[in-house]
Amino acid sequence: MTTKSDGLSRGIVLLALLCAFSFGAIVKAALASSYHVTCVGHGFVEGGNQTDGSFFSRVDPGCGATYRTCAIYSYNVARGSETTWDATTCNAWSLDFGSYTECAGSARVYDAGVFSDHTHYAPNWCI
Amino acid sequence: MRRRLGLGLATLLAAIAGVASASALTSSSGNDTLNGPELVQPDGTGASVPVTTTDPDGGVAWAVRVYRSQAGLTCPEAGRTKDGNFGQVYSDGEFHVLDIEAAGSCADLAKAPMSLAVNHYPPSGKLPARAVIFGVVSPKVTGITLSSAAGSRAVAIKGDAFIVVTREDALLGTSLHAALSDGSTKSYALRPSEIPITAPEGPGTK
Repeated sequence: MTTKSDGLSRGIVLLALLCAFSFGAIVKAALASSYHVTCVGHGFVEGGNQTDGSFFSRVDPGCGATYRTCAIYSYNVARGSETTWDATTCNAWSLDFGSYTECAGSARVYDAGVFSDHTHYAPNWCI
Repeated sequence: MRRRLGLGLATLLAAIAGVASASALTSSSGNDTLNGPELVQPDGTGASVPVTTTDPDGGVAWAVRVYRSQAGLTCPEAGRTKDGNFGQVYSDGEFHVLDIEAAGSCADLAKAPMSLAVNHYPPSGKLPARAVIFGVVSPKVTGITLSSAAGSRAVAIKGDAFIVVTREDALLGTSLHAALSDGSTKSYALRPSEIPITAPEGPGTK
């Protein structure tokens, strides 16, 4: 026989589990939108902090790629980019192209033969 | 009492499930510290500006700043130089000094003959889109030339660094050739930027 108290506890447990998995999904989404490794590290890299306007679009060399591109976007508009070859890290710095709001920044990256072009967003995305 | 126990159990389960789900979901992206920031992080010993070149449109001179990373890589960065300072000219037309940051296009010159990068700057005011070809070379490189339909020209190497400023559209059909000490030549086909002007609207629209 199930008491009212047992039902309440079960409900709380289910709610807590739902919240927990939601938390995990949020963590996953936050990391996926900033920097991760698909054979080589790449993505959006913060500078000193998330509000100083200093951020990077970066693709490490490796995995046999011959060239790679990394671009800085702000408010979804391209502000500048870099292409590198062979063993050179692609490292576009926001401050090399202008002064931009970091939380509206994103990094578009491409690595020939390793991954197709895609965009990583600031972890504290605000638009 | 039973309600308190139930709440405590729920909290404990939530904490365990939260950590477990976060770990499981994030592990699919692999090791986030595969190479690590020390690859490009300056080692704190300063930087040099071995090569400069005039701006083809009459602006502030261009330069390459070179620092060494904590991992021992050589890291060139393209920018502008004015009154002995290194920085950039923004769309406001002003020169902004930039301190040394982890902004270099780093390469391990013990393994690779050179670092080669092209920075692409979109049009700004009356200035057209421009490209800056730059890098550093190891002793294995004996010379660099740029070739296009218009002909070939040697690129000056000073203090193991080089820089060329050109119009972005001039990259089309241009190749950079590095002559190596073993007699071979390494060639790179340059290309104008192919990135779209606008990006998808946000993390939910990738």
